[in-house]
Amino acid sequence: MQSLGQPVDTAVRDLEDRTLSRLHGGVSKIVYLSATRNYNTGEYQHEGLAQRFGASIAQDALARCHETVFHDLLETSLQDLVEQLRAYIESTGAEQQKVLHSWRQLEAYRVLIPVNCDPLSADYFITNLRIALEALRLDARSDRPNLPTSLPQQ
Amino acid sequence: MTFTLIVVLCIALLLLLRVVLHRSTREEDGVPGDILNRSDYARRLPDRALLHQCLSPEDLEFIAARRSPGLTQLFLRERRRLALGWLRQIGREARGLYRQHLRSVRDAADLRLSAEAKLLLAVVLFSITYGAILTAVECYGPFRTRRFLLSLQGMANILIELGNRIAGSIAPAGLAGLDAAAGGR
Repeated sequence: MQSLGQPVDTAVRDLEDRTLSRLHGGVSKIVYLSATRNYNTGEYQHEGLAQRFGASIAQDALARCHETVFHDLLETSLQDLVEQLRAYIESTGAEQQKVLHSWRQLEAYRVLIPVNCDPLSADYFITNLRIALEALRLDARSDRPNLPTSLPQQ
Repeated sequence: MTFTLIVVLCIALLLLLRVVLHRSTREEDGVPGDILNRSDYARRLPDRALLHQCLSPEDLEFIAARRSPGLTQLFLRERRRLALGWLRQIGREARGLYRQHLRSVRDAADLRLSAEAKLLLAVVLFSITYGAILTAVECYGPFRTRRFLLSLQGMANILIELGNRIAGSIAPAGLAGLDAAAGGR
């Protein structure tokens, strides 16, 4: 565990200030951080960060940010997750239906999980995203307002 | 009726387990307390916050408000699966911890039988409670089980409080004497 003032902490702050703070919502952040990871080796790559702090520190900083954002998303309510997902899809500029279809069919969200995540947390995250995607798909199909109703029976 | 019995059994066992663990951790030589405090052991247990989040009533209300039977079924099915997964993992880890403990004390020269008996009792209570909760979640789903447990816990707290009041009102001299003997703590 690195203490405050260590190079990794500085790199984490740098990454947060320069990049992550400009992204709206945890979903956008985790998509960005996952995209910096090489799918073959599992290593994170960020040229700017590596130039400033070195490849190893940049790797640790990206991994740590990824885990932090992931755990924040685990604690996010479904309602917030749906809104974050909606904001992310809008930020891509792509047609919402196409993105939803692609995410549901390809299950692209599976690459968003950090490498050291425990299986139960990973399962919970994937399940929540599937439910959020389904909720967004339903919203897109009908313009009816979401009025409160009685709780469902199990 | 059966469900109520299961839930009452769960509550009683949980309270008993809590008392046993509380006493065990207060023991100076307390083997169970030491085990729970060691990070190597404790970190293997699943995160309690994950189950709490999984059973969030806000999420259930959010899904219910969308009035989609398909989405509701998906949500309830997945939450049940996740809750069962969490329960099975904690059961697996607890059994593993006890087996590990047995291996480590098998040849110990300074084996303390009272501490071992308390630990065994805790393990037995855990197993029974685990089985009861697992059955309840499998049969009735996590949200209904949670609601029953919460309401019964609330009633049990009221009963305990009332019991203390009754005890205090019928034997004030005795309690005062106990307080004085304990140094007024």
